[in-house]
Amino acid sequence: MLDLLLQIARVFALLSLVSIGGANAVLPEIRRQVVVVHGWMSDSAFANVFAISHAAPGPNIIMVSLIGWQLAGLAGLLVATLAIMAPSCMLAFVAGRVIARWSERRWIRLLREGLIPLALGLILASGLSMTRMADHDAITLVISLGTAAFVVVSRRNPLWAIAAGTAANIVVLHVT
Amino acid sequence: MGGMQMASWVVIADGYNRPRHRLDRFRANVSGHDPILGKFGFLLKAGRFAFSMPIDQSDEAIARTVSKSELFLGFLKIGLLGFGGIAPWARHVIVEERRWLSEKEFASILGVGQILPGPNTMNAAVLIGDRFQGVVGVVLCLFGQMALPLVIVTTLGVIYERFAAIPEVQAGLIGAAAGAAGLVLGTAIKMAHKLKPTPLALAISLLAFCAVGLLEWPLPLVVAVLVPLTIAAAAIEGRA
Repeated sequence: MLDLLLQIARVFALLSLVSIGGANAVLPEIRRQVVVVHGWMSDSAFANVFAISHAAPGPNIIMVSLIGWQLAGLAGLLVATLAIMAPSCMLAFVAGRVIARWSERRWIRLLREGLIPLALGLILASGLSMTRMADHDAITLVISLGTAAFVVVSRRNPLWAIAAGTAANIVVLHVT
Repeated sequence: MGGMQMASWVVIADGYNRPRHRLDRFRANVSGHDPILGKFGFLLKAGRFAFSMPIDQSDEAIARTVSKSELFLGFLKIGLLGFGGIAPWARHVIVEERRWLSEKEFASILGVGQILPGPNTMNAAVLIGDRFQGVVGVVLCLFGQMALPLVIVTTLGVIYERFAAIPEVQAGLIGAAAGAAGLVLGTAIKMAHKLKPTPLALAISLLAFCAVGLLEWPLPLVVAVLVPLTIAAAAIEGRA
């Protein structure tokens, strides 16, 4: 048991440090470690974990927590979650302090200014790739575009639009 | 499944009763008589109301303090709502609802979070927590963001086998995923509208979008190439 927990900690702590772009960026490597290298899960069990973690709220990295949970219960959940969070969070903390300390330097100001358009382009890109994955027919496309329009024109909670999309797709199931 | 659970929680988590000024303004506008357009002026005004953005002062630099409990509750809500990725929800709560940060400050923090390893929003939570309440703030933000999603994901893990085959559940999940994708798209468009990027900044955004979104190049490579480029662009345009 302790051995398993240590292995979980090592695998995910290393992944944490290379996960630029979050869970999506390291998804193939997570699968390789969990399914191929350690044989902790079958491919179909892994696909289930992927589906469940996408149906839940929270950062996508939460799939690692669920893997820990399925391997070793509550202890596994805590170890996996801490292992994937701690290294990258500590790095972010140090980087944040460095940026704050030298915030008057010109190159830091340029960096912060320059990261704005980069963040914008990347969030648009993730919107496109999510749309590609989620939209299989005309109805899902309409739901996506309708939600996007809602978010652009309204300050109301986007949950209204998502709840409407969920209900619409269930209704369509019964109508067609 | 997740959608229904979230909806019942939201009422509890959302202690904010914002005045419904938009509706009031709409009523005032619609009943008002436009001297130039006569009695059809309301059509123009209704159109403007439907497609315009609410007046927003949040682009001003905000120098405010955020208490520890505010931080925790805010991130608890972000984590709970964070369906299909946290960034749009974090922006909704932090920029639009509670106004802790301006649009620009939020985008900049998200950008820093993006080039570091780890989920961009988790890094953003670290930076925001540290900014308002130091180390304690960091722990509160991270714990707030993760607590409810962890409970929900394990609950779903337990009941998934039993419910996954029900057609209504599948249809609902597909509908919710399509909605979440639209939420991310809409958030990007809204940010672009409010940030009003300069020509070179817009070019950098489009490059990042094409490289990652259309060509699906690996993110670390794109970041390594674009960070120097975007700093140079900011220097050329004298943005800082």
